[in-house]
Amino acid sequence: MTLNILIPAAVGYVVFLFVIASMAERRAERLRRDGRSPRLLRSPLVYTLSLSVYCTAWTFYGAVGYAARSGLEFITIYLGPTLVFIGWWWLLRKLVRIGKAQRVTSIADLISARYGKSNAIGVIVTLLAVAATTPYIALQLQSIALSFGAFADDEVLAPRQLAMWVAAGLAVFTILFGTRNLDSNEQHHGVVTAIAVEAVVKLVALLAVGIWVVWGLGDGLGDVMVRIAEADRLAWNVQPARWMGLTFLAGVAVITLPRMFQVMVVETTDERHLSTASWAFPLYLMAMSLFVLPIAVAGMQYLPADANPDLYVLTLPHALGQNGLAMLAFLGGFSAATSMVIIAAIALATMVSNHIVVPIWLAQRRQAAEASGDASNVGDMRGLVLNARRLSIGLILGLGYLYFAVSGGSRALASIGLIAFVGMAQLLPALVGGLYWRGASRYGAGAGLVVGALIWLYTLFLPSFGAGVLLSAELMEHGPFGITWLRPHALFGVVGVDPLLHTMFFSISLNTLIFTIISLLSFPSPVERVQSAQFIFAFDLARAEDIPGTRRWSQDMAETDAEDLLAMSQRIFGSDEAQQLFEAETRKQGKAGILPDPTPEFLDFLERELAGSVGAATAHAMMSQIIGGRLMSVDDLMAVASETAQIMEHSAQLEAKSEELARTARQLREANEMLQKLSVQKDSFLSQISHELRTPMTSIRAFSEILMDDEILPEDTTRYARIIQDESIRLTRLLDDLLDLSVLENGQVNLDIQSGDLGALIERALMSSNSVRPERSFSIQRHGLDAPIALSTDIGRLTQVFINILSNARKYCDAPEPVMRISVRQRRGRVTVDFIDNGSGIPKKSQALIFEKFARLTDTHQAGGAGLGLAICREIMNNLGGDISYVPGQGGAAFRVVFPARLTPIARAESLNPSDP
Amino acid sequence: MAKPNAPMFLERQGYRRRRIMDAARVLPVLGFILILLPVLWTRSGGLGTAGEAVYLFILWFCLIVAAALMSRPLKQALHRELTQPHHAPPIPVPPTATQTGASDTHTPPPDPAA
Repeated sequence: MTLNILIPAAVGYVVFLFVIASMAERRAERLRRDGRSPRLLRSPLVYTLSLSVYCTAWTFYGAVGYAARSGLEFITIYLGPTLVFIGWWWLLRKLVRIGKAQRVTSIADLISARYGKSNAIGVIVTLLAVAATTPYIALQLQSIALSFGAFADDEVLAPRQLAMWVAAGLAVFTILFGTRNLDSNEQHHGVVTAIAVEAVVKLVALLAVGIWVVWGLGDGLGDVMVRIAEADRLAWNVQPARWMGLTFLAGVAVITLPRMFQVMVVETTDERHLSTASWAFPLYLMAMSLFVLPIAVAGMQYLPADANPDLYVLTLPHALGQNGLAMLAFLGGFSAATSMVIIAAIALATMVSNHIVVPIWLAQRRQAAEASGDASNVGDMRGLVLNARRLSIGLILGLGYLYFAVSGGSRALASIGLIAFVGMAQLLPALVGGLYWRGASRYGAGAGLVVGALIWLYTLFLPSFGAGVLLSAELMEHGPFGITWLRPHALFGVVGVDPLLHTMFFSISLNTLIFTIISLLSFPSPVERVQSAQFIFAFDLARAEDIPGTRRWSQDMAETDAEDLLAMSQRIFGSDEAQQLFEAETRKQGKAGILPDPTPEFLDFLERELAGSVGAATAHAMMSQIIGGRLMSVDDLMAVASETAQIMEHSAQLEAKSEELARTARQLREANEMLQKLSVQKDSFLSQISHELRTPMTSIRAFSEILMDDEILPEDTTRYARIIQDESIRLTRLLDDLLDLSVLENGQVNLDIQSGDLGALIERALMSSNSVRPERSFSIQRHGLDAPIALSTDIGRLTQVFINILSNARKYCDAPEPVMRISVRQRRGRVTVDFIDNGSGIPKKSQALIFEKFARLTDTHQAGGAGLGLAICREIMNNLGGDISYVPGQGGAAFRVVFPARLTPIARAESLNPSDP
Repeated sequence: MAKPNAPMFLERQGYRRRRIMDAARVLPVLGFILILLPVLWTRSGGLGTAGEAVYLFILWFCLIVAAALMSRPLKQALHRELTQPHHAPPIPVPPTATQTGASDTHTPPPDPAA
């Protein structure tokens, strides 16, 4: 096979890609016109396949070479990204969410937007990205040159010449598709579709070679395992530090590499695609790595020892006569290399134009405008931005070619790629700190990035050209000016460490350290603080633009002319699109015409739209220029924040008030219920009292009528008169009780406070109560009455209570041998007297009733009481500052009387009005 | 920052969703630890490169399967988050939206009044 076949094949492949890309572009355009979104072009599948731009020629050719040299270590480059993707819920989700919300155009744009839209940060990240991507692009050019060289038996073209042609061709392709238009969300449907197709091509090619090696050349998986075991050697042993370090490094790189950021964040249409990619992308990586080790082992067995292991994928089928397979492998490698170069060039060109070219041009224009006195005239920017990008693409590919040419193109592919990885990993502290730490400041991020980048340049990038090319052998050996502590591969006297790990350790740790210290010491600007809040609370502020605390333009800044804004927007979006945008906003504000009111909300919206095309920093600078150049001050920020705080406080107050209202309503309802209950009680009290009065009155009336009769016997007269007298006495007693109760209830009773002994008092009560059913004999048990208990209270009233309880016991205790147990306790000035008999007690349902007026459990009039006794007792005890209650579960009726041994007016008042506060 | 109005307790479905999110966070940590295991083996004799390769590929496959199993509920959670205003009561996701691929577009949930 000669170049005569290879070159047409490669060109034909590029034409095929070209057709795919333009078809996709056209289809997307047509759908956009119809107002639909390109669903198939932007499905989770295409998204996942486009992520495979991670697998470049390094993977396709380099992984096998890596495996042949170092065994399983190659796999760390794919395990790191696997961990990042299966852990998408941590970081990637937030990254994509912020990327969409802020209309981020590149990783430099994201970091600059986070740190107050600082263009300085953008420039640092851009320069670092260009420097780190250069060796990576060189790697692709080298692999393509090598693959041509491996086929061509006749050296028609030198590798350098070939690489130059490839670089030029790819530049043209990228310019054609990457810079066709200036989209407000920086998406390239055509390119992404082409990349997805390339992903399939390289996967199929590598799998085909692998399957041929395992089942064609070898004898199935078991045989291959045996061969691997045979080929095992010392160099293949896992080196713990490199294993861990490279897994980490690859995980970081998959986030920070400009091309990965481009496909993962910028080109994404829907963040839900991430959930599919979280497993599908690791699956792709696994499929790509599956046959790497078998191919490496087969290459070592079948090819001569001096063959370049980086090309086994290609040379193995070629040497064994499988020309078709070799051609497929060639195309697979070609596609892997081209996809990386195209996306990386687009991503870097966006950064260079947005962060370097446009700001410089704007600054120059501003000077010119100040000279001429017309601030709004900044000329047409669309052409400028696109041309800047085209130029940048050429520049980046040129740099890649230069690296390839200077470094000689003979190093292992993987070692070149790792240089790029370490360079881009410098973004990690600024990126992660920016997403999760509010204190991360622009000075910290900038200083950390510069320090990390310089260490990387000095200890890894510059030495990668080889001793004597950019850094002299003398310097490599003894350090600058003979300072051995500053030797590039042995900083601070750390000798004998793997150079890659050495750089990685020092650059990332010092980067993080300086980032942290300076962030802690510095004070961020207002815009920076607003931005940091928006980034860190990206999930809490789902509709950040609605929250006043995150507005970036204050009210008085909005005093500007919408016409100027329209003029500026037209220069970036083109007049049609800009006018549509303004018209839609005007309608949203409820106005007619094309010029909306420049409210802070509108200014925010416009700035975000502009940021989607030219980056946050440039968009902010352009807006500031038109609006008067006044940036938001700390006072503005505080004013907006306090506005929010006031609203929140107001709503909290409202909430408190409504709670209070609810509480009052509840209290009113309770009071109303109480009143209704009282009214019912009063009615029933009246009807009961009439009944109680009527019974004796009826007999008095009847007997007095009989007495008025003349024919009555004298002895009957006496008898009837006695009945009348008894009934009158009963009536009087009832009225006395009622009067007593009413006086007690109103708390108007005059207490006659005397001193006395509790024991004597109880004896007196026992004696008095003996008159009730004197035929029954009670045995009395006394507890706790050994020592005298001195009282100072209304002795007469208290005795009345005791007599009542004891009389009730005599009346109602149904035990054949009644026993009354009286136990007395005194604790903390309060005396408790329990009266417990051995009867059947009071049934549970009646226990709550017995202290109510006219409550009588039996209908019998045996004692002639009106059912007021216990009600009076309760009122007396309340007046004495104590209480009477029924104690269930004591084996009989048990009443507990509690009262203070010394009655003071305060204790009395408390017990009379217990509910009042 | 604690969300001021977020409910303290969730119904069964919401609780399950939260725990799947927790699992999604734990998975990479677990994976990293298991990936580092070959480092320890090498020091104590080890399986050899072939054995380690088999271990790593099986582990890799298991991680992918675990991530795939969790991706669907997580995608639904994301869908819920994206299509609803903050802290509003959840509107059930129409089943067709997630099955037919219609979820790729930002269609708002159908208005129940319409």
